[in-house]
Amino acid sequence: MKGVGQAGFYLDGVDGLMAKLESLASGIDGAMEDAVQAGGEVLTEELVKAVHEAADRGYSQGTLETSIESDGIKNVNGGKMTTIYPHGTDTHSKGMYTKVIGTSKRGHPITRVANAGGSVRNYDKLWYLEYGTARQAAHPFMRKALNDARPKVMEAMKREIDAAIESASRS
Amino acid sequence: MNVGALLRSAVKDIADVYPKVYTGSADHYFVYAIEDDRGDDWGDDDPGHIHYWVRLSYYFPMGENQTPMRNRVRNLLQSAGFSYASITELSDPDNGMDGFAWECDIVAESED
Repeated sequence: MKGVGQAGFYLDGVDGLMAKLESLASGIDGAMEDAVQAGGEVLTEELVKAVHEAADRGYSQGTLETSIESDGIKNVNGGKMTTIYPHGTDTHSKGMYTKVIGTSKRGHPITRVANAGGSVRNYDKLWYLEYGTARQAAHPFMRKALNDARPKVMEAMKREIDAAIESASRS
Repeated sequence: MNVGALLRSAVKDIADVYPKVYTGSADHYFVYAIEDDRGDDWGDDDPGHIHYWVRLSYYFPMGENQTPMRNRVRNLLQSAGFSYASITELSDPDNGMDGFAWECDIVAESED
């Protein structure tokens, strides 16, 4: 704004401002992706730490915690998201196996871990750790990990957004 | 305030409530776990309240239709001061049990 008159005001440098805003807008997609990526990395780190603490009872081989990773950045409803969960199977668990025994009311497969031969999905291992069974204590870790991660994730994402805005305002 | 006692009181008309794991012979029972707890309303290095995240799990013999229990327990928990619970279905074929887990939170004064 260059000056304000009694009857109104006039602006100067609008073209420059518009160019900066356009530059910022064109970079927002990449900035959002970087932000989700950064937040996902922090959350993964917190989950791995929490699983390690919950599962570490002397015999854990660490396959569950090392299986936790992001499935990449996806476009969802005009935004960006990532999902973090245990991938793959633990072939070291030769004494256990998983099979589908039915379907839940919502259509999800209900699986069981049995006691002979084969490998076990890491997702199932995480489930049993978190929820236990009718006769086995649960070791809940998800809520604590999410509560611990929330401010760190927000900070990591904010850092990326701030950096993108700073970069656009300089260009 | 004792969160375990609050849970026991909330569902006392349905079944007994045990901390962490049940090792007895009943075929309908609840177990609860504290998922996380954090200080709230800090002053003079002490929390004015404690925020608890809890999970209450109900186990029953596989095959029983306990669907009405979902909302019944959720409403009882809300009446006892807990937040509106999310519900997860549980299945433990090895022990012939099905179940539900209600997860919710409450801000209380303390836990024994």
